[in-house]
Amino acid sequence: MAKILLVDDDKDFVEINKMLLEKEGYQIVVGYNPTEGYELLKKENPDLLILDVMMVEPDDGFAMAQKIRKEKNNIPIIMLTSVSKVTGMKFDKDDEMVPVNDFFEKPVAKETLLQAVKKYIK
Amino acid sequence: MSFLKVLVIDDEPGMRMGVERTLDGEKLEFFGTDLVEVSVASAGTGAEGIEKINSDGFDILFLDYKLPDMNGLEVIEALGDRAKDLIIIMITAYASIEVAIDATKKGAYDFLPKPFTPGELKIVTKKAAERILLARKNEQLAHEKKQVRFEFIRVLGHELKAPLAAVEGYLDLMESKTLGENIESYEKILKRSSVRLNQMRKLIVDLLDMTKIESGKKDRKLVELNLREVAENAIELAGPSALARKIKIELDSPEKLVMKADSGELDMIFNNLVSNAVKYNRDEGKVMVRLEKLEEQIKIQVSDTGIGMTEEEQKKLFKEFSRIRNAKTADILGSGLGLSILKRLVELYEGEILVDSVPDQGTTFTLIIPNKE
Repeated sequence: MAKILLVDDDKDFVEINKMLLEKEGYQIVVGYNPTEGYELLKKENPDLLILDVMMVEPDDGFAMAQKIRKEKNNIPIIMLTSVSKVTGMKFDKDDEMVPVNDFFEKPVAKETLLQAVKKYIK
Repeated sequence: MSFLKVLVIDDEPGMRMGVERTLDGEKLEFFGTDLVEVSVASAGTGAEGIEKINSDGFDILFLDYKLPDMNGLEVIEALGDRAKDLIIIMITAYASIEVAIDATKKGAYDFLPKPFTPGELKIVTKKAAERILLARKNEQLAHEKKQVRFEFIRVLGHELKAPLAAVEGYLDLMESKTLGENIESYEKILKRSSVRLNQMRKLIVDLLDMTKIESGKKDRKLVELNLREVAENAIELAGPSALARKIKIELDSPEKLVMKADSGELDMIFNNLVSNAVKYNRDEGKVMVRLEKLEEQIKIQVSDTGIGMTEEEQKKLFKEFSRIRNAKTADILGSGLGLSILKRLVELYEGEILVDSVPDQGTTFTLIIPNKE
């Protein structure tokens, strides 16, 4: 069974995506901050990472993605954010600063998310 | 260290060299902490000086009145708006009153009659530099204020959107019957949705409270209050949530401890402290509320046996919306404004808050408030 790691500081957001993805038959592990997420990444060796940008430090999610790529880990990463609309800044994936495979603005329609997940887990 | 650029426009080479020798590389100290390094450039004619100002930008201009190609006033006129960014000091051997008034009208800041000593030059420079530094400081302060406000609104926007997104997400799951046809399966979802909506309401209420305190428009009525009673009320209010998790709350206080305060504000302070001590406690933990009259102060102390914080986490404690997020706090609800409100309230009483915390052992908040009976 394919394993997905969800990292988001919002408990309910984690819960919602967990329910959604478990119904599709994925195994889900969750972390509530980048530190926990990073430990789980090492321990659980998931097939896909769904990562929120997070607000504690505004660039936590970015930093985590950069760190993962620096270690030559090519796990597919789907990044979700609610940041760009609020700040008026436009983020998008870019290999250096935002080294992720997909980048979505919250809220993401569940069809969109499921489609993206299917793309990376075969 | 910051820098200050000085330009001298004078046709006498001796004068230009004198200013350069006296000021170039000079380090001025301000307000005991700021160090400013001066650099000097010079020009022999009005046209050359204007060109330098247009291309380089300067902070202070020493301007001779009599120049070969034009007079000092004409230089100021030719600079137009650029003159406003400069502090202009006229150096002239014959400063008639008329010239002085005219120059001041056109934007000159000071006069330095020739001949002058290096000491006099330094004093005039220092005076001008102080003015520039103050202006820079004001500008920076205004900028920082704007940044803080922008940051606050940015995070507030996020905090208001998050519960909506959560409820939307849950509704979406229900609509597509993700958990089947049976309504009971959705109990947890419904419960979480109402928790998030309640939290959003709490955030809005807190926000309004904070705005009221900040604007100073809150009606304050200072009366003599028995702190013991205030503490007892707060303990009673936290009772149900403490009972649910078998947390004991104890009070150690003299029968009567009177302080002149606003009753609403004091309720907020105590409710905040006690409810936090319950929220961040472990099940079957303990909360200790201690009140003590010191010589000229009152000590309010609330300790818990909860999850505690690392030093790193403590540093962020009083910042708006800086809720500590990890697996331990994921289930605990808060607006992220409680402690900033507490801090503002305690400031109203000229008091201070001390925090002592050990991860997994507990946290103690101590308020020391001057007692003005």
